[in-house]
Amino acid sequence: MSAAGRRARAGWALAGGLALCSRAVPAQDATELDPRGVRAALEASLESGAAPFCRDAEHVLSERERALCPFAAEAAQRCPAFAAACAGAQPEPRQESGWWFMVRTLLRALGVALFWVLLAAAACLVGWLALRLLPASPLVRRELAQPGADPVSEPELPEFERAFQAHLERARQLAAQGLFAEAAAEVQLGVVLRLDALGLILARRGRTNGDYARDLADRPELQAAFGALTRTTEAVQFGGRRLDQGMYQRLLEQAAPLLGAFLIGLGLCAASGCARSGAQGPSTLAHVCGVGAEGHSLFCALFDSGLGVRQRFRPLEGPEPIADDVGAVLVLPNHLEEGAWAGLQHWVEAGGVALLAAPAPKFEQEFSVSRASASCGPHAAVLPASERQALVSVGPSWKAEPSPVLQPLALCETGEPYILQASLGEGRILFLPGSGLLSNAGLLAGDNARLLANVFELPRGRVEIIGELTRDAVSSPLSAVNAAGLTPWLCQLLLLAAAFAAYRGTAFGRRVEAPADLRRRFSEHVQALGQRWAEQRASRSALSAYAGYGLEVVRERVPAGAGQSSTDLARAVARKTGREHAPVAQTLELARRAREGEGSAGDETEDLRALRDLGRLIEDLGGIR
Amino acid sequence: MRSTCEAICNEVGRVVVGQPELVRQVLVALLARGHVLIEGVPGVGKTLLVRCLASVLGAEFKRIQFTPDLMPTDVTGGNVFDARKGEFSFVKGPVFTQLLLADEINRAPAKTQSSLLEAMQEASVTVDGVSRALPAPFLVIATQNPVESQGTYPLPEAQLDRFLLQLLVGHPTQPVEKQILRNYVAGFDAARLERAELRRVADPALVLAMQAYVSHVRVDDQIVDYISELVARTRAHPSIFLGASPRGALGLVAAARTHAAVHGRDFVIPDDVQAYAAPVLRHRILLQPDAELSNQRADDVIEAILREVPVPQGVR
Repeated sequence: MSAAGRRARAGWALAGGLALCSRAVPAQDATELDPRGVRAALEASLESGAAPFCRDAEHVLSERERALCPFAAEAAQRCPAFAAACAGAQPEPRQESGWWFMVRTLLRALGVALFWVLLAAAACLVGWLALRLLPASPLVRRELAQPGADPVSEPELPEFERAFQAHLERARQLAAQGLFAEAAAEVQLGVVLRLDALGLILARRGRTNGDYARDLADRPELQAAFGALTRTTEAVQFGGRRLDQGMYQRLLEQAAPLLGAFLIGLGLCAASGCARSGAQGPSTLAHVCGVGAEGHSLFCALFDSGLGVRQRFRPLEGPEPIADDVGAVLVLPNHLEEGAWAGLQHWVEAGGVALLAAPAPKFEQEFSVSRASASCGPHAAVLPASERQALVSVGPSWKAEPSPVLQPLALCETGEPYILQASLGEGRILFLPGSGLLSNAGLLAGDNARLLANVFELPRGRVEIIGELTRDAVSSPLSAVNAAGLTPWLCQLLLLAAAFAAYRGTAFGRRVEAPADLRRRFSEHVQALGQRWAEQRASRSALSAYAGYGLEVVRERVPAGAGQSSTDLARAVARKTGREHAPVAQTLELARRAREGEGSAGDETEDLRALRDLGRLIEDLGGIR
Repeated sequence: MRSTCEAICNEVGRVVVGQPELVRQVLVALLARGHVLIEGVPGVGKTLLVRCLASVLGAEFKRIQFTPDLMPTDVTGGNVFDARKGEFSFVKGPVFTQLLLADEINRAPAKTQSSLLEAMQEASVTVDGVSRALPAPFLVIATQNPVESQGTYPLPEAQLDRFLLQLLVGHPTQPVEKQILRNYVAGFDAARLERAELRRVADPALVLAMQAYVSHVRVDDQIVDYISELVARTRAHPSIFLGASPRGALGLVAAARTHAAVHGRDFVIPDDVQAYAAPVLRHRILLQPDAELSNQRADDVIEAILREVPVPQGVR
């Protein structure tokens, strides 16, 4: 700052002092100001302590005041002590001791280091999460590509599906090693999880087999099967029974009504063995899958066969072709276009299996097959003939020229093929007369579910269902929604939401009470105690306890010289409260007797009356302080 | 064994209407060499149950009505001076029986209650330094009224722990009560039990043999772990002030074993443990005051623990 500037600043500071002083001067025109009056006002102001450096030579100047010291000489007339104050010793800057300085420095350094460490950790965490969440990140790819990863633990499978399939698969492996007891435990667990998955029982870790059996009370046939299986497995698990192969087979037969075709699918028992058991016949799927679970028998049948099932929604052509883990595709009535059929043909030629249950002109023309106009008849014999089983047929038969690449798998009674199989490249195509055979009714009819599971011989892996929900390529999410037929619903939903928003405003959330304080109030404890006493009808105990306290309070409220006897006390209380002596004496006597435990337990009503009378007496004497 | 137990229960059930579970539990306690504390309002057939059981088992039965002035010697008996012989001779108290009904046990002071301790634990009574064995089998069935608390002496924890089971008996359902009334109208008199013509299904020797059989019922290591975990959880549960004792764990093993045997099994399964977890543990745990104020009962906490602890070989 220049000298002129400093001067101007000092002038303003002193002018400020004058302005301060002018507040003491009566308001009038400046030309009429009396200089003596102004000076007197200034002196008065300085005397009042507004500027202590002007009157106190020993005043220790602050930093800001010390900045004005170059102008002390100019202000000497108005502020005579200022120069002396400036000449005084400057306050020594506060000296910190050595150790304190070190501690402060160290703490500051630690704080800075901690800040940067936390910042770096947060950045690392964000980076790691990003790598984990991005599906294409090397971290995820590495985890997925780990050798020996359990195929049933892939994330796409639902939890229950993974669990029960895994247990039954483990049972198969254990049985193959001759560990039948361990295998039986796995079968039991698989059964429990499967019944849970079907919604028939509620499997929880604290529940026992007895609980599950009781859950099945409204399904006596399943309850009996489960009970039989449980008795066997528990005898092994907890009773120390030995289990050989024959007994294990019998156990599987017991489990068959509960597991259905799943036993065949996993090879847990030979088909002939299961055929002897309850696994065959229409009851299996009807009991376990079909009834009460309308509309998903097809899923259930494939699921029971040990195959993962997935509906395909994305188009066949485009960036996401059929995945490597898909072993077979099931083609139901659909809206596929030419490009999609071509993609499907390429996939079959590469080794896939396509189960065509819908018109597929491309493939039908290629193999010269067409649907007959007449129905197949009531039954179709499954080939080879040794199977001696008949499908309950639904729909027409096929007309086809004999060809080495075509092989009938089932024949109508008229001798025409009902199910055809054709080789295509390294894969094969199965021609079904229609999707009716795979409908709920078709699968539940006769022994269709089990026979079809055997006839198709689907490879291990996932089955992908291509149907009406499998769309051709869409250009945008909106067109996808439109193609799915959801636009009207979505519009209605949006309208409804808008109407609701207009009605409720922004307060969409349900109002909830603030969480209650876990610590209870004293009054609640007292109320609970009173309630407990009331439940126990302990009115005499309550009166006894309250009387002991109440009599003490009454004695405190009356003059000290009132005497010690009950009569004296009653007289003093009556005098002080203005009541009659007799009722007061009666109340006090009842209280005394209750306190001393004299006399028999009275009537509950009388006890409560005495309790209230004593309370009123205490109120009249000034209450509880 | 299963058929014998069913026969006993059916025979007792002819007279004690609508309490099949209670009858079965008392039988389990007898076969497990335990004792029973029955908590219930008066007039629900507790005494009748014990008398019927004694009649069906051909066992000796006595009853002590506990009152505030009951002395220990009134329970155990004592040495009385025989003027003719000029010496003290021991006069047996009512505890010298096979089935003992200690009615309203909490009406007597602690000194008298504790006179039963040795009898219940050791099946013997010591008077003036001389121990005398009680007849076998020996079962104490004590009752207490949960409603009245005036003039009662709550059983100390040590004595509660000696009861294998605490059973809760409520009022009968209306159909059961109708059946009781019909029996009464038809001439049944509980005071004249002999008119009911109860069939003697077993005898004390058979009961002893059944007790011996129960001790051979297999308890797998997984079951031991399960019981241990259940009992340990009672000691760590936030709603419990005092958890079950090791004697409680032993009691649970004994009750589960007997339950298995009664159901015709020679091995224990988790269902046996769960069936008797509440009767064995409910009187052995003390709830926190806050839990009591929240109207939580011991049974609620035990049920929560049973839900939490994984069942052996069950769903994890």
